[in-house]
Amino acid sequence: MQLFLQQAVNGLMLGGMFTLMSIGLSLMFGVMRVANFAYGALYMLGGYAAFWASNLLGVPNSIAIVVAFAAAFLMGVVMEQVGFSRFRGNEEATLIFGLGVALIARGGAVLAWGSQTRFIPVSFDTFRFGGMVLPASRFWAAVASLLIVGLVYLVVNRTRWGRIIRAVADNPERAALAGFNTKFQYLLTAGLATGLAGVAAVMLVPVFSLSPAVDDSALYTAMTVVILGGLGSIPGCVVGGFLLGIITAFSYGYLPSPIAPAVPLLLLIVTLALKPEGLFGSKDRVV
Amino acid sequence: MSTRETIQPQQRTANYERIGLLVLAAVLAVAPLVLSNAYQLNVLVLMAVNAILATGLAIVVRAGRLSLAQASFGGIGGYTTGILTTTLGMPFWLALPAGGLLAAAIGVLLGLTSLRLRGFYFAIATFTFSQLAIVILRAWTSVTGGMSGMFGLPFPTGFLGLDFSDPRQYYYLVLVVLFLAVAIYHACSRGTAFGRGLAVLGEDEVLASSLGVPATRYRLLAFALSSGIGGIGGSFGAHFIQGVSPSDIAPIVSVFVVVMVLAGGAKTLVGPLIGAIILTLVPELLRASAQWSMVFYGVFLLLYVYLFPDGLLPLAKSAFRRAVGDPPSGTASHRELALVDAATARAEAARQNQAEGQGADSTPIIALENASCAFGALKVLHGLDWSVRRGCINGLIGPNGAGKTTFFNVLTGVAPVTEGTVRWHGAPVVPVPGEMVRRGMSRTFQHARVFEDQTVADSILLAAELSRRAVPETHLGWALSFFNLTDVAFSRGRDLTHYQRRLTSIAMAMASSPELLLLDEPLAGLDDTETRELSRKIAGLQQETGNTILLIEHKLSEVMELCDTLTVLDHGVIIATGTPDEVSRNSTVIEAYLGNE
Repeated sequence: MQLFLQQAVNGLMLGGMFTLMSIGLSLMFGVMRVANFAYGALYMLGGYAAFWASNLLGVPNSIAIVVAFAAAFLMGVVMEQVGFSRFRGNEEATLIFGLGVALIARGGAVLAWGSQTRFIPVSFDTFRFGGMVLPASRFWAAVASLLIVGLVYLVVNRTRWGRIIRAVADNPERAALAGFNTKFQYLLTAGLATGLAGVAAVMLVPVFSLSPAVDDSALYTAMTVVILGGLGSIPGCVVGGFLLGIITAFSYGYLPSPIAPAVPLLLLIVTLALKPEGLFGSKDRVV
Repeated sequence: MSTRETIQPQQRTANYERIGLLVLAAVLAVAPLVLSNAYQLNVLVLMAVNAILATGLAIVVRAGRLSLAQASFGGIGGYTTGILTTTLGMPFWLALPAGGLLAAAIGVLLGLTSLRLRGFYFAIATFTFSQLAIVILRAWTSVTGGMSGMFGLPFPTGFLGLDFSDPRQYYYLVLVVLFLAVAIYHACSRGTAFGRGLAVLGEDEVLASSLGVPATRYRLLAFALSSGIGGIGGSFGAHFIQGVSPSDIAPIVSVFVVVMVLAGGAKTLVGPLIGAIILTLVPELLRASAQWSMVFYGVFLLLYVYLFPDGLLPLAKSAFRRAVGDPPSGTASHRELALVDAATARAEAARQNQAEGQGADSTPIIALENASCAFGALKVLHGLDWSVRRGCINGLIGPNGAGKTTFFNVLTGVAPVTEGTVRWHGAPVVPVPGEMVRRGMSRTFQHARVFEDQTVADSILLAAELSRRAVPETHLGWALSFFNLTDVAFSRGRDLTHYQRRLTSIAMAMASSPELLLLDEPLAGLDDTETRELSRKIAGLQQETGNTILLIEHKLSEVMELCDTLTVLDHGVIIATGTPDEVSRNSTVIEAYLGNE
């Protein structure tokens, strides 16, 4: 029972973090129908921004977040401008473009910073109640993740700009006829989406670890979350994140550690085979 | 003369390919004389193994799916032969087929997901599969050696005095296997009816199915062959370096194989091979580190997607053509086709009429009995009783959203019959797209669907061949002259006007000499002259071949003139049937369809 509760709590914390890791990918797909295969690489680059900011410059996290967001935002805008906009509607070219950028980013990261795993020093404080142990760093990362995801949800659903991008997502031609500059909205959305990958990296790198190879696992985690929940749906992304978090926590808690990683993978394959539109997705669902 | 000789562009491509293949084989055969030190020989073997993996992968890429798991199949092959030869002491040549077969079997399992998934969903599924394979191989330490993998795999046993521990001889061995793989790839692309079906399946799944390609079977077979070749290639790779480990099947290795296939030219025979050669040799000979190779591969992918989306080989080919002043295929001389004699056309028409003669009974060709079609909770067609009148033109009309296209989809098996029965010649059938063509029913689509990358002549030949109901060359001659397509016979689908696309799509549907032809809004989007011309052609088509036609159309005045009977559909229910006169006087129809506006 103790183990069960502990893993449930771990799963919830992990779920919050996974949701944050995926929200940008989900947003980009929801608004622009773009599956960004460089998303993991952008997360990885954001992580290095955070690492250098904290290690070299010793700046506080709040400033690192701004730096990582700005850097990733810019990269997202550039990728949209030179790549995604050009290949819109061509799924294969979009995928290849993302893969190409990811390969260059990963190879470049090893060349620039080496392939060793980096850690950002975190506090080892823990909260205890009822016999459960909550590492403070994870707890705060999870809380911050949910706050950020909530903020994104509010922006998309409750602001004027959110209405505009939902209109663009729903029907770009009609939105353009109504006088919206869809190209500009796409650029903005792409920047926000990848910027969120950068923010996620700052929040999560202290908890997970950082190396150039982290792009694979970040991409894979984000893809799993958005597919489980339904591509392009923010509530779906939250559900997918928590589902993956809880399942991951329990499989690591109860199964021998070499086999545990197989469970989330099987979950994804089964979802793809049986309900590819995800738990919350419908074919036309946007944001 | 036979019209076969007139299909010049394809032949010329084939010639280029044959010459290219011979040159390439010669270069590869003498390569060890130039690149002769131990390190370079190792690189050559690695290159040939990559080329096997890439050639295998090209089969499924050709069939329209981008797989990120080819390295995993190589790993399955390598681990299987590794375990069989070391742990169980089996000879390599017995273990090898086992490795290939196991990889093929698992490939079919993965292929099953491709029946529902496409595009990047499928890419993700294969990516996940390759991660899962790594987890299993790492966890199963007792058999696979876990993280560090297996060591000390034996070289293949020599025969006929050959010794495969010599890298040079090993290289020639792998080269032979590579060319066998290329031969299989040829059979899966242009060499056989299966391959041609597979290629058009990759181009347009819906259209290919409507022409009689058994999509499921073909796709699974493609996966079996592709992953089987991958498994064999992986075995040869593992037994050369005498070891195999989970890092050999990391997703990034699969991505590298994808780069080779795409960059070389997925739609050409030796493109994947060229891609493998360039992308293996360049980084290795530059002695680039793993990370520089990664950057190199990434840059190559971007160049590919921006500069040569068809691959390097087609790029080189068109440059060569420009240099020698040879016109690109598609605009080649086609004067011979103009010679298609009227006799052929008449013979074809007569043959079809004859086929019609034997079915002169009164059973309707196709009928619906209390048939419904629902998608989940949404019921589109409600308990229809309907039959088609033989040997004449039947119209299906109704307001937008009445269910007309669904009606077609039910007849052709694209949409499910959730209740009731479809009868073909009186016997109940469950329509399946590919099979209905063989039974003698073909269709066109609302949006004139043609193969964008195929010439008109090739499309019509393919359609006839896929249906297995007509002699392709005879039909081609008849169709080109009947539909006035001779001038554009060598234009590609993407270069046609809307009207030409429409004509081509009907010519392709006619290629199976159907007893029943379904036309979905054949006149949509045509101007007045074209409308009149095509109307006349449809009437002429029915008279000349004596087949039965069912068409959906919104242009009422044309429908009234053209059709012998009309069925009116509204909200998924048949509200009237009869001659155009009867229907146009029917008050329900006037209210529901023509409206009171």
